[in-house]
Amino acid sequence: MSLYNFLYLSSIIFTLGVIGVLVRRNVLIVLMSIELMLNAVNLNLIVFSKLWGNVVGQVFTVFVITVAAAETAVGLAIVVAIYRHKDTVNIDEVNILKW
Amino acid sequence: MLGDSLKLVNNILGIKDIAAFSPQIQLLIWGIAILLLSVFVKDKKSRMNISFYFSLLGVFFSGWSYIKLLRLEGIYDGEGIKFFNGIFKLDGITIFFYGIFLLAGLLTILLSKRFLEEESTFESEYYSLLLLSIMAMMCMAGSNDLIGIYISLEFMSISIYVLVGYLRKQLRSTEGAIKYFILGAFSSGLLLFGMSFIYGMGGTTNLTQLFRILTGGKSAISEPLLVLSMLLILAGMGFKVAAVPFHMWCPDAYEGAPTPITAFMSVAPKAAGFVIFIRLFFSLFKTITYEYVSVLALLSIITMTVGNVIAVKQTNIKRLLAYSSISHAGFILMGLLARNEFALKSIGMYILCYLFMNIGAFAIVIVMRRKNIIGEELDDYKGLIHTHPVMASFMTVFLLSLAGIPPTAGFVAKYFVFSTVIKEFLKSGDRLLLYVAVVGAINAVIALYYYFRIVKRMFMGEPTKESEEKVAVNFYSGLSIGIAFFFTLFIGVYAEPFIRFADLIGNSFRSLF
Repeated sequence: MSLYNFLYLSSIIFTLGVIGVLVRRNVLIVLMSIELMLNAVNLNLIVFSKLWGNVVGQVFTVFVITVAAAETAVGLAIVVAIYRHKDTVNIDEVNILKW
Repeated sequence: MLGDSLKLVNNILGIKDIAAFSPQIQLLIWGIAILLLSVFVKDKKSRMNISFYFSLLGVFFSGWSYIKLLRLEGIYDGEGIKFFNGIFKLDGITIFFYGIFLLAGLLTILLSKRFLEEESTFESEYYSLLLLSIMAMMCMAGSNDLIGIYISLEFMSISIYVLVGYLRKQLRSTEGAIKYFILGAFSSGLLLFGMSFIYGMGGTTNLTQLFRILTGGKSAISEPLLVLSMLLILAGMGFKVAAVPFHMWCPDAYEGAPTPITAFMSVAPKAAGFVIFIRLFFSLFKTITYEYVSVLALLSIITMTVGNVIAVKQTNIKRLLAYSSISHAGFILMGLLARNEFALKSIGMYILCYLFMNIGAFAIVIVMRRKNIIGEELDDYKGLIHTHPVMASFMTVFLLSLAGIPPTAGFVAKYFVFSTVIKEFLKSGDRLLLYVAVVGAINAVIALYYYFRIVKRMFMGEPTKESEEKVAVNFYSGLSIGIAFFFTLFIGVYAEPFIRFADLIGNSFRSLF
């Protein structure tokens, strides 16, 4: 298994995440897509960490996972607030602010 | 044995390192104290007042530690001092931006009291998160490591997502928050992906070491990958400073957020974003100057133009100021095109001037909120000169300054940015730089039009019946407007001491490498 195979995989996962954020309209799925992007980053970091033989990349990964958890917590709280107003989690229907 | 390990601990986390963090630690302590207060003080009214004074104390003590830090030796000699094994660096840039963040925080806290009383919603988290986000920005200003940059960036962003959605009973506040949150999280994903490639090429996350490896001329560094990671980081940071085409969240979040938070967001996180721009782009991407200049020039041109053109059509003053802040980000990006000492100085000067004039303009919007009028539509400002002459003339000065008319701070700011670009053009002969300067000049004219739409309404319009109601300016918001007004005029008339303050950041150009 060469290094490139891992990098191809992480690039594919990252692209899927980006497409998910841009295309899907359900907030929860958008959040999952963002998580996918961050996991592609984690895979990248771990591969490079193995390549260089130091732990900096793995330390970075731990930080990314932690921050992603905190971020999702805040995001879900905002989603709940939206749901109380509109009874929906579809971001296309949350559109009182325009231009 | 014990002595050895103690020594080790002392090396990693010495008392010196704690001293470097004292402004942040002060903010952290007071921020947590405000949170704890809500457990002990049950009465809402007194809790609101005590939290307000606590947050003022927090900024005051933090400023006091900041002034003590100024006397630390070795900050000004170009290299800066490194702390925490090189993760954090204290140099002129850090010191300068500490000042910016503390000032923005102080003005925002002063403005918040009346706003919260008027809205009659108060949770202790408001002031607490405000202090913590200032703390995160201070950490960001000094980060000399990709991990440090990422952590403090996220800390700041998460605090501000919550603050934008603070008025959770209003749909538009929540909507602003969800848009800001999704695009913010998306952009930090892009940023991280770029960072992971940088780490892959350099094998370390320390910026000083990365600079040596990436510009050392080794064949192992693949140029396309370097360009890719630059673009990813540029996109990620572009979202944070609201550069077009990454600006979609900006007007919505600005309109939805509580107005003092809008004032804060339009200055402090933007300034923090530009620190990261400086730290990453001035040093790491030195070998791909051509790609860097062309991408950034394009970004700067469309940011200025789109921001200004859309602002012309706005009828809500918060949205208008949001688009105006997008175009100001374009002007600051213009300063980033040249990567020399003078460019650093011009960015510092622009952010300093922008801080006073923009918070001043938002402060007037906050004060204009009365019982019957929200004071956010342009028509609410009709005939303001007859009903509130002082407010109207202050607002005129802030708008003149935002447009860049001579006896105000905005002119000094624009002067420095334009001369940076022209100087770089004369030196390198790159035509693109000239085009950027020309587009910038045209944009200054477009900006004049929409700022004067507000001025025209204030001076020529007839006041409506509701707008005759008197504005109650309390001492604190008056103080805040006074500070902003004083500095907006003072920098314009006598800029010398402020240019010397901005020299702090210009002189530490060498510490970037």
